[in-house]
Amino acid sequence: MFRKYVLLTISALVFFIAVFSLSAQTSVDAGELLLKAETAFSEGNELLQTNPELSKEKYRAAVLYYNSIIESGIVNASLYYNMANSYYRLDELGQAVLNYRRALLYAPGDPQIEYNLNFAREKQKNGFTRNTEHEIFHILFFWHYMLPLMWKAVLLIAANFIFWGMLIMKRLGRPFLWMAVLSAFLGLLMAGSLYLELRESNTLYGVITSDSTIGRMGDSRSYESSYDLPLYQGVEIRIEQQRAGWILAELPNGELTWLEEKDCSVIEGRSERK
Amino acid sequence: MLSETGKHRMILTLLLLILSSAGLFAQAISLTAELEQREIWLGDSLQLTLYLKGSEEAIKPELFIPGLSVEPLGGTVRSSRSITNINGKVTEKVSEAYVYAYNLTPRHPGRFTVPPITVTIEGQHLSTEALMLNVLEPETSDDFSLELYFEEDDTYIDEECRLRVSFFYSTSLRSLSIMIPGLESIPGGSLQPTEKTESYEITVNGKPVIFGRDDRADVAGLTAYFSVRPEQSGMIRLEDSTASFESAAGVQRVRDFFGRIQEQEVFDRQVIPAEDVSLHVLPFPREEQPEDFFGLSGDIRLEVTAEPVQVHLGDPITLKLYISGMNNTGVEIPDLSALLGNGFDIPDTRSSGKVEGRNKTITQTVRIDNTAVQKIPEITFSYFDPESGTYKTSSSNAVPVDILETQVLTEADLEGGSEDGDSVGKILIGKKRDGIYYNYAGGKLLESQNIMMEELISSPLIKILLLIPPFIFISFWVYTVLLPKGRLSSLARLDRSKALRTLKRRISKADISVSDQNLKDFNRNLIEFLKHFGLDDDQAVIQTEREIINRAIYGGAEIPGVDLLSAMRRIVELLDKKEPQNV
Repeated sequence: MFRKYVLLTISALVFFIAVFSLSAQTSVDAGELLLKAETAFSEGNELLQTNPELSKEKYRAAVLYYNSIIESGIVNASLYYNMANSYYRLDELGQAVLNYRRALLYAPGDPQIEYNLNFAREKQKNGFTRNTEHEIFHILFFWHYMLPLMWKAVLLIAANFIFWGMLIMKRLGRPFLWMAVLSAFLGLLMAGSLYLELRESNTLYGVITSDSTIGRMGDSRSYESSYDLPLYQGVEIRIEQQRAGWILAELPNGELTWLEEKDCSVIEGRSERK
Repeated sequence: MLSETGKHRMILTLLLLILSSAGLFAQAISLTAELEQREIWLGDSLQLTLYLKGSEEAIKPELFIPGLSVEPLGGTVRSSRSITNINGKVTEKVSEAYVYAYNLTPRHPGRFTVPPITVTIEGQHLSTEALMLNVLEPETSDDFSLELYFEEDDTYIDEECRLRVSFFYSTSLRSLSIMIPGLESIPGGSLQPTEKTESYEITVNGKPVIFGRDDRADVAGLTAYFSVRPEQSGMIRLEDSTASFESAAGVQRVRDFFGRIQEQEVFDRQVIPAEDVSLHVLPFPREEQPEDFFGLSGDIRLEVTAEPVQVHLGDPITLKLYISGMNNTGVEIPDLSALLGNGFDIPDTRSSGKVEGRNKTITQTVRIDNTAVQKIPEITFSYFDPESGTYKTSSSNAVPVDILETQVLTEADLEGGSEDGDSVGKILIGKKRDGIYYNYAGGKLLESQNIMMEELISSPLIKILLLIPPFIFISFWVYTVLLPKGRLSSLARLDRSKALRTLKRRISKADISVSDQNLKDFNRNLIEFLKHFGLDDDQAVIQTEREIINRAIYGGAEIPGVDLLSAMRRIVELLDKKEPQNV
């Protein structure tokens, strides 16, 4: 009986060592990939002025390594951000914007990511301007567009505590009505904004990642084009509808057009879904 | 004790376990290559895929195949999982491979061999097998034609020439794509059409290009123009261009899901050739070539601006040279020191210039080091005008400069001040809004994150923090409604002890000598206390002491401080013992 336990224990140990070594191996591999990615990006930077062709190869390699890390299951804002920077240096504006947007899903409000995203947007050839309605909303509901997600959550919790605290104080005979009203107002603003963010997070967004594409009136190449010029890479779209091989996209100016699915990439974490 | 058979069984089990766990790490490395098809038409492309199994090392083998253009598509790690069920025993096998792909486009018909591709992984030399590819020659058709046409037979270096690409068809077709080998390799060649027309998107050399309608008498047509700007003299030939598409070949009857007969159009794949075209690129003529000609061609106009124009000797002047109408904006402009002549100090560093269309702006800081200089002189360039086929010169305007008397530096100047006290001479650093920020680095790149919104929604802490306050309030509300007495007495006790502390503080302030103010403050707090706790009508217990205090405040009686203090302390003691009646 005792020997049976010894045998079982040794077997279990061997099994766990094997599994542990395998997981450690994966971690080492990701570390090595990261080192290779960072080295390739640095070499690309060094060569940018003197040998642009070779520099592009280095950036391409950096993209490949960053993507391999993401494919291995490690996802975070920094990886997407670094990959976006590599794409930017490769003049692949669509992929750059796509990956900056993905980075913002993991670190909303990060000033460095937002700066680079806005900078990449400025380089977009079509140069869409937001419609007036959108601009008015930005001004009227500035807190919704300016405050980072975490701040909104913190403010909602604080307002919640203050509001109920003030109700308790009222029961104690020390009413601070103005404070209760103020906290209720603040709480409603933050809750409303968070609700909108939640709704937004369930909406599909995308970016045009092919060099250029034609916006059409319908979901086939036989339909006329919606514009006299192609839509170039980097245009951010809201995906309203998907049909076989085609998507109905809302452009930044609020207009709708049909685009071929192969020319766009969906902004969502982890998978490189086209 | 184990029997012999038992011992053997135990050793065998251990060995099997160790071998199976070792098998997790050791997986044979292999490299294979796969061609998407073995036979294609000229003008079509196909994919060559390399599979590196047993290693995740990223490879990027260089590949050169004569007669085929090779475009690397990149690589990724791909994992596949297979589950087998044999007699109820389920086995799951996970295999990972690094996959690298190329796009191959034949440049001419014939049989091609994709040579063995060799890589070295972890010290092992791995090689693929050679693969054969047969490229079929396209055939002409009466219903379709592809025409390429250079608008000029001859052109000069850097001169723009248009290539017209037209496709004509008399029956319906779909999936049209055009292949013009060598178009991108023409220096200055561009795939963007030069005219914006009603758009029909056609794939040319793998990229979408807008074509316009160009119908002829009996056939429909599509046309686009490509801008070509050769940078070297010689003959440009565009050979083996093709158009591939699917043409309507008739209809076939098929049964649909409900068994009804439907007519369905049938398409055949077809590839047609275009006639080869050529363009003769002429060099700049040697005869009458000016000595100062440096390769500039076009319809050149020069303009110079300088700011400021009133300067002391040695002050920096920002000079801007605008060159418009250039055929090639990449031509290197000579150093300004050679163009401006003596009297100017020009730093060695210079910007490459800003290019917008056919215009270039060169910005240079210059300093005047000679009082004899009265103007920025005209700058003259010789250039070649392809329209007339002759050399011409273009001159900029001269910019008059006012040299001010040499300024004597004072202490105030050195400190950055001036006579009128304004702060001048400081260099204001402006933040540049150009370029992207640096990459993130460090261990956090290997830490997985969740999408912030998902994290917030799923966070139990947030839910708890949102639910705690209403829960506390409801509990408190229930407590105060159901147990009013308890609430009243406990709250009253709290308030009462606080009020008593105030009275005691008044006494402690009056400990040394009891002033009128001490006494009045104490009395005021005492009245508030009695009123708040409903003791107005029940002053008997402290009546004697209150009379002493009232006599001292209102009666003008001279009462010793010791007695007053004693009365005050007695009041506090008595009130301390009294139970509260109201809140």
